[in-house]
Amino acid sequence: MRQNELTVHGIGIGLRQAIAEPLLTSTLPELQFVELHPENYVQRGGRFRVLLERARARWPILTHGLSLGFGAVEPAEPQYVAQLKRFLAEVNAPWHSEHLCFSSADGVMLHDLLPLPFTRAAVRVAVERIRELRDALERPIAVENISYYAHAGTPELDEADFMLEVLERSDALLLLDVNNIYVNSKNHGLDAQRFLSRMPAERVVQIHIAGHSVRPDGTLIDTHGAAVRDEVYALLEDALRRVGRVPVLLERDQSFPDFAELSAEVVRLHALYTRVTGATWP
Amino acid sequence: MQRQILALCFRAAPPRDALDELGGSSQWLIYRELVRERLLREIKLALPRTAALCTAAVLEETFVWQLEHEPPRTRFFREVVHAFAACALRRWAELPSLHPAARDMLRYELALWDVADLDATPSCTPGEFAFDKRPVVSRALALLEVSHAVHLPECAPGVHYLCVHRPSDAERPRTWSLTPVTYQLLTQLRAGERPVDEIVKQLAAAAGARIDAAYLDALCTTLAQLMELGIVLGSR
Repeated sequence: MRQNELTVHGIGIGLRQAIAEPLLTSTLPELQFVELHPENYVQRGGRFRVLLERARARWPILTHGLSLGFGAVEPAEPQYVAQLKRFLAEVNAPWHSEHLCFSSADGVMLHDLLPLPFTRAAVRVAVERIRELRDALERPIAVENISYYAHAGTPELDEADFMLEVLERSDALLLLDVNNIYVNSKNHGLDAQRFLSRMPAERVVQIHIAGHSVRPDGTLIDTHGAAVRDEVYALLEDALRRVGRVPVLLERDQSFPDFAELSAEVVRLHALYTRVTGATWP
Repeated sequence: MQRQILALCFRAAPPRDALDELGGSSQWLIYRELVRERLLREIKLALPRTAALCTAAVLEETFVWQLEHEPPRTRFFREVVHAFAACALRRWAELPSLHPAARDMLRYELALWDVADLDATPSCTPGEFAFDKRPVVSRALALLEVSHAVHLPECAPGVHYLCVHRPSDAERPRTWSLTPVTYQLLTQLRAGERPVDEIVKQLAAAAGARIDAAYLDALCTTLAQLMELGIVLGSR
């Protein structure tokens, strides 16, 4: 899959229970898709199933996993992968994305995105996990760059080289998280523009954008719990100039404001998107 | 390295050796904070009345113990509540200072949490209800016997038989207080292993009751109510 095959573009928002009702009853023409975490829907009925059906009736669905980080030493259990495969078919997901991180070890789940060492051994593991998942799901896989707050061991590669090796050797797609690039650049003294310029534009099928928080010591945390900062909008603009019309997701997972405030962010993103990419909708 | 990070996040106190092996950066403690905050927030979200009854100190002590000894193994975030509850129910049984209704409240709130998400679709398409066939009961259902009125604001002592149920067209579960006989009947109906007439005969015999016109009249009224509520769906 390449960008000219994308059937979804424009601005989307994460389908979260806290905003589901105003989202599903909104008239927001700037919104072109929603994204959800399959872990919140697999093996689940009730309210979540109802929300899913209502969302599917209005928008294309993109899927983004939280628990199959590609740095996991152990392969994912086949039972869950089979459930995931059925779910992705049900929502007609064009690809499935996951993080270049680890979230579990020895069967214990951390429910967070933990960084991998930037080493060739970690590349090998990630490539293996990506191929396994793609083969099992029979669907393209997109890999997301994460934010990290500490270096896991002595790096053999820089982050961009690490990403590139994983992407090239696994032939995976890229979900480019612009806020994560910004957060990492500030926390580790890196050049966000340089990182962005090194990412393979032709592999990018989606962009994530979010707000972050700043701790008293100055560390930026990718919380998805605040409005997107102007500096991140600027980086998004650069990213869109490079990659073109790919779907851009506004991530908001906590500290939800009034829906009007979120809608205003969607409208602002949409204006930026149409200005930069020239995209129009009927 | 991944094991060191696990230890750093889940041990009761962050182990110095794990931090050293990760390079000594105190930045790793950010992950400990993020992981623990997220898990505890979900538990408090699911179990608000339990948290109030057991006190914040007991809740957090149990949480700390659980993470160190029985950390979550589920990939479904909603189920971290079950992992905590399983641990708490055991540990709290030996905690004499605990509020007497806390364990009942935990079981009740866990049932509400569960039933809210259970698939209400029956495993087979039910036919018309018939006494000589096996019953089909909604799957979005939990039955529990409690020794406090945890379904009411006051939580007064007293045995209650509760049915937590979510109809297929509803997003939230509702709680029904049952008579002991209806509770036993529904428990058997939900098992779905025998025809209804066999279940009724066995329950009547166990209770030393005669199956006469009055008994049948009461039974039919109860079954009609259960069907009207979408709890009993038919027969197979």
